[in-house]
Amino acid sequence: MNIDLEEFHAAFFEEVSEHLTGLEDGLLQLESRPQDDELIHGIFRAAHSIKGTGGALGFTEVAGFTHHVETVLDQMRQRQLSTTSERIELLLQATDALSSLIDAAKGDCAPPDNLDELVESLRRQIMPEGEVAASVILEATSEALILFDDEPATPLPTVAATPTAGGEPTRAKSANQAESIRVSVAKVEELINLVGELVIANSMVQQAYADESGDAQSLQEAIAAMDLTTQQLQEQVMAVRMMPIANVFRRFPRIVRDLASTLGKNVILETSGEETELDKQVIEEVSDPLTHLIRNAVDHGLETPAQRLAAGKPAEGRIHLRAFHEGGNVVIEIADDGAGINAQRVRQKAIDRGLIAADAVMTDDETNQLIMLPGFSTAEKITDVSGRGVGMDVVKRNVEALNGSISIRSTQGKGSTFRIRLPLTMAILDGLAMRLGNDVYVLPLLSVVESLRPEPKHIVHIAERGELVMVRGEPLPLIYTHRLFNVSGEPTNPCDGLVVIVEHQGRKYGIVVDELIGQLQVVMKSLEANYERVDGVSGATILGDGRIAMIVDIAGLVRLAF
Amino acid sequence: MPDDRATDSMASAADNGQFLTFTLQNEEYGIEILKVQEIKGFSKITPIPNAPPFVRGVMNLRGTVVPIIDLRARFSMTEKDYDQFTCIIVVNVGTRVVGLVVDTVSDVLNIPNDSIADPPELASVGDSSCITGMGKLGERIVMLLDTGRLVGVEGIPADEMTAA
Repeated sequence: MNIDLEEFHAAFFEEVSEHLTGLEDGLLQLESRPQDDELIHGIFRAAHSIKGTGGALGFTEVAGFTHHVETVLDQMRQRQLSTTSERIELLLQATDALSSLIDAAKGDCAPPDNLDELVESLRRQIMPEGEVAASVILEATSEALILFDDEPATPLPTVAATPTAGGEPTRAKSANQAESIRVSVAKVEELINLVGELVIANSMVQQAYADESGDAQSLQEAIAAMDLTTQQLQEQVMAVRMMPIANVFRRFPRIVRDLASTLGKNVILETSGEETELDKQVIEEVSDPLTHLIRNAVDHGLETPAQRLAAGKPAEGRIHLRAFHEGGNVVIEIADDGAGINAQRVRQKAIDRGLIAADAVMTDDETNQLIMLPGFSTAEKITDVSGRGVGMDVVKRNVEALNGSISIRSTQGKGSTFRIRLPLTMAILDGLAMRLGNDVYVLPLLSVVESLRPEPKHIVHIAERGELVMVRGEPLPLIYTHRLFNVSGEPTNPCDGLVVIVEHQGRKYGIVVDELIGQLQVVMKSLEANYERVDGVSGATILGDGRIAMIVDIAGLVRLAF
Repeated sequence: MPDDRATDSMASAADNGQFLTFTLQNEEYGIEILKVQEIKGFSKITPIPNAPPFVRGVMNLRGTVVPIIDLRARFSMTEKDYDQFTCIIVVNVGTRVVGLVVDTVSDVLNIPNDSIADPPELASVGDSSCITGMGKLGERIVMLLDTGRLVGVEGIPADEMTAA
C-alpha cells in the first residue's frame, strides 16, 4: 500500500510541475494579453487541477492555498476583477509559493514562510466582492451572461493586437510534456533483433535490385521479407507503449473513499477490465478526465444515504468503472446509480446562460451533452470537490485531444453513465482512403459502416435542406464533402460515385465520395504543429507515394455540415 | 509569441544582417538568413480544406507536414504558373516550419544596418506591414520581410469549444 501511495505521489508531483509551468507561462502571457479569455480559462484550469488532485491525495496545504489562488482567478475570468499587472504579480508570487509548498510536500525543504501573508493579499483582492463571489455562480446569471456576451467580441481585438500569433505554438498543444517510459531490457533486445533483421532484409532488397541477372522473383521475396519484419517491428514498438489501464484505475478507490467520507456518503466502487491495454500516452492523458468524472459521480451523481433510502434505493451508492475493447477502440465507462441528470434543469441553465436558444428542440440525450460546454455548472453549491463548471469542459477537451469521444446517458432517478471512447493508440489509425477531386482523403475506418452506390430513386431531395439517401428504408443525410472542404471540381453524382455510410454518436450519415481507394494503416501527423486546427480534419498522413493525405474527422465534418 | 516580433526586428536591426533574397514579380525581397532552413524545388502539394487562398496546402518534407504559403497570393499579386525556377523557401518561425513559394531565389546578401531604410509609407504590394525595411545596395533595392508577420495572418487558432 505504501509503495502504491508513493507511486501516486510521484505521478502527482510530475503532474503538478506541469500545471505549475502552465500557470506561470499563462500568467506571463496574460500580462501582454489581458483580454484573452481562453488564456485566463487555461490558467484557471491549471490551478483547479492542482487543487483537485492535491486535495485528493491528502496534500491539504497545497489544496487549501491553491483554493485562494483559484478564487482570484475565477473572479478574473468572470471579469469581476480586472486583470492588472499588480494582480498578475501577486499571482506569480503565489505560484512560486505553491511551487515551494510542493517541494516541501516532497520533503525537499521547509514550507515557505510567507504563505499567510500571501493568503491575506489574495483575500484582500476578492474582499470587495467576496460575498458576491460565493453566490454569483449559483443564482446571478447576469455576470455569467456578461461573460458570454463578451466572448464573440473579444477574439477580434486579440487577433488585431497580436498579428504574430501565427508563430506561436497552438495552445491546445501546450500539454507537450517531457515524458519517459520504462521498458524491460527483454523488449529492447527484441527490438534490436528486429532492427537487425530489417537491415538484413534491406540489403537483400538492394542486392536483388542490383543483381542484373536476378529475376523479379528474388526481388519480390526480398521485399516480402522486409514487409514482414517491418510489420513485426511496428507491433513491437507499439507494444512498448502499451500499458494496462489498471495503472490509472488503482488510484480511484482511495479518491472515492476519501471523497465519500468527506461528503458523508456510502459509496462502493466496482472496477472491471483493468487488464485492458492502452497506449501509455493515452493512459496518462486520460487519467485527469477520469479522476474528474469519478469525483463528479461521487459528488453530484450519487445522492446522500437519506435521499437514496427515500427513493427506495439501497443506502450505499454504486459506481461501476469498467474498461473494455470495442472494435479497435477502448471504451471506459463510469456508471453510477445515483439521481441522474435533470435534463429540464440543464436545459433551463443552458438557456439562462445563452448557450442554446429558448426554443431549441433537443432530445434529453442531446440536452445532457450540454453540461460539457465551458462555463456550465448545475452544482447546487461550490464545494472543495467540484462545482465551478470547469470540470466537464476540461474532460471533453482532454478526451477529444486524444481523438476520443465522450457521451452521456442518463435516466432520472436511475443514474448516469459517462462513456469515453478512446483509440488504442494515437499514432496509428486504420483508415479508408478515398478520392475527392484530385486529392486523397482518409476516413477513420472505425466510423465507417458500409459503402454503397445508391439508385437514383433512393436519393430524396429536401428543398433547401439538402439530400437524403434511403438505405434499407432508413433515411440518412448526405454530406457533400467537396463543398464543405472546398475541393475543386464538382462531386460525382452519388449514383455514379459511392456513398460511404459513417456513424457518429449513434447517428449515421452518407458521405459522397468520387472513388474508394482502399483500406490502409496510416501514421497520424499533426497539422497543428506547423499550421493550425482545421475543421473537419483531424490530421494528415503521408501515403506510400510520399504525398500527404488529410484524415477526415467525422465529428468535425458533421459539425461543418449541419 | 508577442516578443518574437520584437526580436525579429531587433535582429534585423543588428549592425550587419545577412539576407536570402528572392524575386516576386521582378521585385527583390529578402528574409533573414537565420530563419531559413532550406530551399526546395517545387513539389507536390496537398490542399488543406477551407484554407485561405494563399495557403496552397501542405508538403511532405521528410516526414514533416509543412504548410506552404504562396507569397504572390499572400501579397495579392497576379498569379503565375509554377515553373522550373519556382522555389520553396522553408523557414522556421518560432517552433513552426513553413514553406514560402517564390518566383526565384537569387542571392545571399550582406546588408549593413545603415543601408536599411525604414519601410515606405506606400508600398507597391498589398500588405506593407510585413516589410521591416528597405535594403539598398548600390542600385539594388531589397524589401526586407518579417517572416513572423508573413506567416501570422489568420494563423490564430479559433476557440473551438464554443462551437462544439
